[in-house]
Amino acid sequence: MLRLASNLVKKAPANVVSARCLSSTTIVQAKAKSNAGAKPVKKKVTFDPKKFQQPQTKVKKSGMTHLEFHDAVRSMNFDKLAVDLNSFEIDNLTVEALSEPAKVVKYDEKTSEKLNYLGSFKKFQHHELFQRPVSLVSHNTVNLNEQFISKLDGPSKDNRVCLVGERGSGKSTLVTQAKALALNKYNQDVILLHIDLAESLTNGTSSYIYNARTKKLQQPMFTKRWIYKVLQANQDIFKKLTLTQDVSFQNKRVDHHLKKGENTLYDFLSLNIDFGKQQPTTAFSFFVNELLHHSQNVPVIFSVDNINTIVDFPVTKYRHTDFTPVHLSELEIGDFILKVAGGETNFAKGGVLLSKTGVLGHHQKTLSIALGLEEHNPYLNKKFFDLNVANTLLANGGIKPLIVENLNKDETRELMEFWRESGVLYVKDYYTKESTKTIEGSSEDKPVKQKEEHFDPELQFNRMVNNLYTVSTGNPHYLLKASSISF
Amino acid sequence: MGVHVFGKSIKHNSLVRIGLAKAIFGIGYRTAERICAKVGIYPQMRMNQLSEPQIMDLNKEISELLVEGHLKQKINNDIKLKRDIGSFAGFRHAQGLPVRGQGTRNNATTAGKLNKLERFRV
Repeated sequence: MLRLASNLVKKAPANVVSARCLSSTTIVQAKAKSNAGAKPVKKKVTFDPKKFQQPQTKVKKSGMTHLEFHDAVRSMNFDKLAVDLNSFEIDNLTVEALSEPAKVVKYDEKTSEKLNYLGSFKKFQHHELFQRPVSLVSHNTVNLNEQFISKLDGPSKDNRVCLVGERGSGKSTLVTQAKALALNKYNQDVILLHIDLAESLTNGTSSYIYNARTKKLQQPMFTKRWIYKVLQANQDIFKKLTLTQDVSFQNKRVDHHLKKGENTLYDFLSLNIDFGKQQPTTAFSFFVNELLHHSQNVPVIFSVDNINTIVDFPVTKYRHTDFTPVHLSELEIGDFILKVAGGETNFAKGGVLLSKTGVLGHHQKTLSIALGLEEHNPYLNKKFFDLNVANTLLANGGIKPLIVENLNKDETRELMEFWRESGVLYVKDYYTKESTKTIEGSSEDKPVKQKEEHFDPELQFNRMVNNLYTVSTGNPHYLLKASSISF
Repeated sequence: MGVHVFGKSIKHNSLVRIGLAKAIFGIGYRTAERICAKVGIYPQMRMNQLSEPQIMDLNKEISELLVEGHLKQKINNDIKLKRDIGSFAGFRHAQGLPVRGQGTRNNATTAGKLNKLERFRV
């Protein structure tokens, strides 16, 4: 081809004046010279989108989920893909199981269902890694059993505990374990009242109306949802408890007259829709009175997770009609929490279990001063410390703080062992020993040596345990994050 | 889909306090929060959750405020008054120049756009 082209160029002079005339550049130049006076004509450039469109053969489908990654991980039922835990010999969480600390346990089905209703298995605890929720019995569980569960036969004002600890140390898990242990100890005959996210009380997500009789602000939306959860979790025990007072109410234009000693608390809660009505009602105070009465026979456990979100920030997002902010104690349920936590409302049998969240900072001092972890400074700024709330919590002997410690090395090893067996933890191949051996058949004068590599998974696992324990200092959240989760 | 409050269509999934502030001239975020508190609307309520009586209450509260056309008229009248009494501010308004002592060597374009004798067409 190149030769042909060169021939053409060579032959060209016969017909054309110069070889350069063959190239387009010279021709254009010549034209430009001839039309030097005229304006250059601009070619109109238009955009035709059809040229760039590719024929669509496939119909575009929507994605797997509209949720963000963190939420999607939880909602996409990855737990169904997890390893079947039935092949493992995991015991249920019982009071007897506490005799062997550092042990992975599961919740029995009935308990698990109840805890699920109460919202005990929380959003970012990574329960999707396993087929069903599991937890580790640690020395903290044993401590809580001694300090809280064993005292449930006494009055709740003498049995008030607040779990304190760093972020991810397992405070919420411990609250869940406490409820499961109580259910096991009393053979499911325990009333569980649990608020899983205390901040939802004050963050302005529920409607609110003023009740002139109780002089409190009711939150119908929040109360309705909470009562539903409580009813679902405690329906077995509520069906056994009869009412102590007659009560009448209307539901969908039907009058209901429930009689004492005949109808049960379950009837009252399932039939009464006053909790969610946008009108003042005394249904909640009736329910509390019934609980107070029945607590003589059945222990009542009142637990609040993320308590510092309301105690440390008692000024809510709600406003009065004159635009002054609403205080926590002015809300019906907020007042109930403070009274129960302060011991003013006392269940004859039961306890109060509060849990702090480690996500918030340490500027707010109300809870830490109320628990006696810090000394009261009279010059503290009002926005960092609420004296009334602190005094309420300090009443009746105060709340005992239970400091949740990180896992020790044995517990860490046990937990990681379980993760390895259940396929959550991946132990990578890492050659632990190198040696050389002489290849057979090589001459004795010059022996040929070859590297031989050994892989010891146990040694590698031990190395991982040591490494991750050092990295996470035994904090379960950071341990899981460092070992298996990459987001 | 919009929810109509005070003659304005507000997006159905916006928060009430934000929807009011965005849609109605003369209502800012703070005023919207005040109105909501007065009517008894909780902070995270959305426009599509409003009931008929609540919308009527909102309309009533907003109609007591100086908003929309009346507020625009008032602003126009105030500028006109300044011009009529021959004040310096009125003079600057008429010339389309900054009113409050700003320099005009650079960056007086916004004043050129806004400062007129009739700022709003009512």
